[in-house]
Amino acid sequence: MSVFDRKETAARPLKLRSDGGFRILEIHGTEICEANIDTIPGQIGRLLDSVKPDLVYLTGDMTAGASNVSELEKRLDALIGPIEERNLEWTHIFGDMDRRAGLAAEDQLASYKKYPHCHSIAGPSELDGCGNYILPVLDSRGDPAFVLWGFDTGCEIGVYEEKYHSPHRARLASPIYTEHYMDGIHMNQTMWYWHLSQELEADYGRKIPGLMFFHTSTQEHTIIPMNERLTGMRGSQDGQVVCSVVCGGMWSAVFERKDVQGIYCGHTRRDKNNFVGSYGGIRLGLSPAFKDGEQYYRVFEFRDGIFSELF
Amino acid sequence: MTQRLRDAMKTRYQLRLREDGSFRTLFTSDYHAPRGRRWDPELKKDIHTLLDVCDPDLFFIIGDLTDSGGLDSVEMLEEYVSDITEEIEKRQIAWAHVPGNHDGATEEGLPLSVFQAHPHCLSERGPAEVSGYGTYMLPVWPHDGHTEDGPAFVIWAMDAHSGCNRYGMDFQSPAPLVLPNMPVRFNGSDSVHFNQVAWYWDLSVELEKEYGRKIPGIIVMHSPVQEFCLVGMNPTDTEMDGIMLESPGPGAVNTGLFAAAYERGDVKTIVSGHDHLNNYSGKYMGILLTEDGSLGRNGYGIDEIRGGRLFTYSAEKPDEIPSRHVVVRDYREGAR
Repeated sequence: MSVFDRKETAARPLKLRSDGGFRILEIHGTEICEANIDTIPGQIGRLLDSVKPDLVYLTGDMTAGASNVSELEKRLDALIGPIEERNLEWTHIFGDMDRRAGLAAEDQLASYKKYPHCHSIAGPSELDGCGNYILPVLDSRGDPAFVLWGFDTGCEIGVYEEKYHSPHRARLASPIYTEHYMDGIHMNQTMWYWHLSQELEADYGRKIPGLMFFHTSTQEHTIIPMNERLTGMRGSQDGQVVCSVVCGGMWSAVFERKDVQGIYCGHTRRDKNNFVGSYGGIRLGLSPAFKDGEQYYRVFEFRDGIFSELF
Repeated sequence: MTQRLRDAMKTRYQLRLREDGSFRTLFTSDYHAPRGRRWDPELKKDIHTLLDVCDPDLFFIIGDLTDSGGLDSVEMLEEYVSDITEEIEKRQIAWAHVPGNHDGATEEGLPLSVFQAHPHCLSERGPAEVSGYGTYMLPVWPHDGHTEDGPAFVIWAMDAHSGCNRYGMDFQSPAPLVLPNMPVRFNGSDSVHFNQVAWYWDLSVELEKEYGRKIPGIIVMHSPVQEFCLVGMNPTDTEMDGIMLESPGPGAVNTGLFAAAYERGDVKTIVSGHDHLNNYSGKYMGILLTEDGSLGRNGYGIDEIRGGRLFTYSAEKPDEIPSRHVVVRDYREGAR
């Protein structure tokens, strides 16, 4: 059984365009609530019409959470309605804000999956989080041209402390990387990537190019703005990258596997946290929250095995 | 049982608990023998004293046996290793080692054959597909030698390599990994590579599957992981004990070993060397992080902590393996 026949993968594979390209629009942090629910559909519609993506990847904090399903679905309509109206394919991973108003991510997924162009799935149940999955994009022969790896980075680090029975707090008064208290990628998720990446290579006899999306960044993302020139940083930052408290080893797993070309995260809502740079040959990006009229989104164009960042 | 687990648990001979169900492991490191047959003759006497005081069942050397990538010749290394382990072998005590960053980036510095020539040496290279030349498992079995119920506990020995830029080169990084501004104070050290973390994770999962329980363990590696830094930065919250006179020098990149141990829940201790002025211990998220105080006299160091870390496994409290630091000077009259 190929990895694409299993529960790790979205059911309907996507395909490259007939010209061999594929365009991904990443939108992060729309945080839909009562304040912006009326203005969001027009703004998203205009963005879609100008970018013309083959896939929209929503990378967390789609809503400011919701206390019940009907509230959630009203908020999702504002964001996903414009995507569906244009018959565009889309997928998502959860952020921390999505689960801050009562409704858990696990209870939200069904509302996402009601939309016909949704590719999101829960992923393997033995992994931490809801929404760890790969989304393959096939070439004209039906082989994977590339895969998109999506992960759930949860909410606050307290969940990680409790789940594995830490007798001490993970967030200490004097931290190395971040004074915040965010959860991140756990080792069981990194190991899932590690094994599946090896299986893909064994199945197809080559490394399958990929991009990775999750909400709260790796600790290595902090290295980019600390070394702007040597990492070739584009964009800006405001001096504080809110990464995960604990390191789940994802950067080094990707560095050793050599198939994923970039890890793109978000979480931080500050306007100025909008950068991309290279560390060890891997693109590390941090996306700002969506804002109308600004280039606060990211566009990737895939062609001939390489992803280019258009924005 | 998977072939991988069977191979990993194979050792030259079986380590076993004592009759009373206990097992004593002594960790020392950082001898820094320089080239030119100039290793300090006091080292051997220090080891002798520690053997008398600690009565170990396993003597483990956590790297930096040499100062500059081995000695002048294989013959001289043979002479050195024979000299420092003479008393250990004489007492028929098991011993093993992992390389440190000063032992060189290849196996050339410390050829394993020099070590394995000694009958009580249990050092291994580890699987060929895993980075380095010293990532292996030492299971400690029940006193009667029966293996059906699994090992009492396991020592996970891991090669932490030499420098982080070398890690970059090994995996074809287009640019150096050691940049001017890094999140932790560091000196360009490497750490275990991710494939070694995966090696531990997979075997830990297989061990639990095979024996229906988590097997307690100790991870030993030369350079500490980054989480060691949190101890000195948060002495109260981590219940810090002992001395930290220099900032720990962990690998420049965090490859996730700590998170792996935390999620697996079987390893409750990571013990390292590398920083000669430290013998502290502290707990982060339930895992004891400790440095062994450095035993060597050819590198820098201080008499106040020169010694080793002794772990005593006992059947009464199998899940935690209590340890204490042992200072040579407390027991050796006339020691400098």
